[in-house]
Amino acid sequence: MIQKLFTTVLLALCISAGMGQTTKTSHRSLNRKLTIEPAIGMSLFGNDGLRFSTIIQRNTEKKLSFISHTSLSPGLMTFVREDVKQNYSYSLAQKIGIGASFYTKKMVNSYSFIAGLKYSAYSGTLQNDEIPETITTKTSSVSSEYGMMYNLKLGKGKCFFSTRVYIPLKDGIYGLGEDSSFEFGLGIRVKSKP
Amino acid sequence: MKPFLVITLILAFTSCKKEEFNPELIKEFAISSTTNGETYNIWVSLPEGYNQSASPYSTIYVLDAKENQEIVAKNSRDISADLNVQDVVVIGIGYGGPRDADYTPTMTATGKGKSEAFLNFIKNELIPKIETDFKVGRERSNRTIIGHSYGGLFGAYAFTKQNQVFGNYLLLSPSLFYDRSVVLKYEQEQRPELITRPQLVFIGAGSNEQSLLPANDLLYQRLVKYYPLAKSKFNLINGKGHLSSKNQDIEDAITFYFNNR
Repeated sequence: MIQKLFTTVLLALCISAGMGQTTKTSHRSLNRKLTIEPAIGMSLFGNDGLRFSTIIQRNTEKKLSFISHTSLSPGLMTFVREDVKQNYSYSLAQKIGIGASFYTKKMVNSYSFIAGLKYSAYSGTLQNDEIPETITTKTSSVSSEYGMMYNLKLGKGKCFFSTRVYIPLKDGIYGLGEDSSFEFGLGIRVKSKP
Repeated sequence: MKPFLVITLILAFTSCKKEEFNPELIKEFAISSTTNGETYNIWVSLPEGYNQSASPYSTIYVLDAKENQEIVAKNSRDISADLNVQDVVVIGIGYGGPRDADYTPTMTATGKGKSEAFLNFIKNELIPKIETDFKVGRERSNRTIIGHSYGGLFGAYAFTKQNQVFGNYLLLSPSLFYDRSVVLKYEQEQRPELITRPQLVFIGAGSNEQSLLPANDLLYQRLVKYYPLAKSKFNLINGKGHLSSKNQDIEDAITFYFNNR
């Protein structure tokens, strides 16, 4: 119950925040662009360690934006156990979505709902002098992901700073603890509409 | 946009209706342990028709009761009804001492190592009271322990150190890596005695739990290899982590229990 309530209130807050950002000023130089925004980030609660990601966002005339978010977590800075040697650990996720962008002179606030798939793989070997067996465990999985992404673009030239927060809506408060992330990087506007 | 917001919130609240248990079927009491000096709140969820049943019920003892008692009781009720078998009495054990003391077997930087006293409290004080006050079976095979994370570690500790207490172990993402997998060493030492008893052992985890997995994998491999009288299962929840796997794992563990007890 709490999970459902939390995710719904979060959704409502994002939408209402977006409504509050509406401005009547038209900033066409920011609006009419396809942007590519590579970034580096990490899980808000440190589960997946570092991640590298890229957003490709296409804005339309009416504040609508289409977004693609790709991320790779190479399994750095994950939990280390004394007697477990990590052979490899990584996850790759691809999500697409739709959102709304709100413009001021120097920034763009985007609120998007994105969904997609995540592939995760792990291999670790238990090595302990006091345990006679050595065992290697391998796992791989494909799972769905969906959530809200807030993206703040700062700067009005061709290059800008991109900061985003991803809040998963799957698995309620538990998903929030495991899959929420913060990312920071640079973006470029690569295409103008005629 | 405002109508959309209103509709969203209305849908949220109407979908959040809590499924209530009959309050007459939930008993609560506190028990002060003479073993470790702590006081534990205990919640006992009785099955529907408890008063009419002539035969004694089996029991499931739930660690981290505030988080897990209700979902264990609900799953037990629903799954036993689906399988048309007798439900169980669910006993939730609240915190007395700190969680990282009662649930950890040895003293480390992350745990205070008071499992031995906590298990003695359960064996010598809580179980006798439950089996006196309620219509429950007194055989080892009637008793199950379920725990998550450090709770699962404690369940595995009970399995290795005082295997005569519980006949069934539902270990959810157990922190078997604790203190360089010390519980696996206990298992090695106690194995000649442990393999002589029939038991159910369910080990569950999320597939994304990474370094938690090898020690659990090894315990399962040992169960398969050395325990002819045990029924065991290693249950990986696809794409889930330590917390997000818990609820599904509870359901799978209870299903395993009812199907194999």
